[in-house]
Amino acid sequence: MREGDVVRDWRTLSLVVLVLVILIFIANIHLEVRGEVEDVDILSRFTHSAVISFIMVNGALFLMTLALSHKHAKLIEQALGTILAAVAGVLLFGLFVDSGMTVTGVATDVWSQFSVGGIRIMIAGFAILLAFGASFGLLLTLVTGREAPPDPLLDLETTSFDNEEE
Amino acid sequence: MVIIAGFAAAFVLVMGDERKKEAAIMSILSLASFLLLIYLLAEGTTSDDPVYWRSSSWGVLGDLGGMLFGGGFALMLFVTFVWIGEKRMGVPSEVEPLTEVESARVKEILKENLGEGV
Repeated sequence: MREGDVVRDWRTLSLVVLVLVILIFIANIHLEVRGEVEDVDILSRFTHSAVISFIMVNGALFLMTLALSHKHAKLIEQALGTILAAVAGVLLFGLFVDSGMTVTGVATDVWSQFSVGGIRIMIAGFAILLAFGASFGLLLTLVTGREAPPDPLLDLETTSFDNEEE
Repeated sequence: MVIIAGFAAAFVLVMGDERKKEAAIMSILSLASFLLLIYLLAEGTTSDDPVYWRSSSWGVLGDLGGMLFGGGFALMLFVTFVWIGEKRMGVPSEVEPLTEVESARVKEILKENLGEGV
């Protein structure tokens, strides 16, 4: 396997992730019996989740921009853009809920829809972080625990850089 | 866990250095998680039936897709804002050369801190 081909490496990684996502979808579809699954309304969940994530990410970036600002930094475009995008997201979310696009199993008022959606996103986010921590933590332990050939640089003597006249 | 352990297995392979053992362990982890998911979807648990797990699995797939789409779009928009900000930033004006007094003061400070070599 030739090393250092970045495009090929990213293509491999993307392909693996895509195949696994498709496998999960196939598992869901294969095991589903028509009429058996409760009405989940996947499109509403997707739309709500997308708009709430958009609001949260823009809000977080706005706060980070404020935290990083100082008198010489010119961050007006960033600050104004992120806060306006977050406000636009809030208005869009309200419009969706008012027009009847609500998630089932939750009270139909805007705040209930937003808070439950936000909690769901945070739970999914923590699950992703947990899976990353577990997988890459184990991987780090495996990689650092393996025996490597001795580094020839360690045999070299150190050189003093002090001025010899002093 | 299925996706991330699979990603880790592919990642460790593209890292090079013949890390086959690590890649095999990550693949086993991904496969075991996938089998567990299929078991949950098919059999359910003692507290919740398979219908519950299938319904929540579909719902969570919708949540995850929306999260990736909305979060990714917000990040792309942020990059656009930074780019616009950089584009609008004017060229800094030329710095005036030091006056005689300032130049003498700088030389004095350098001499104090760097010794006679300056």
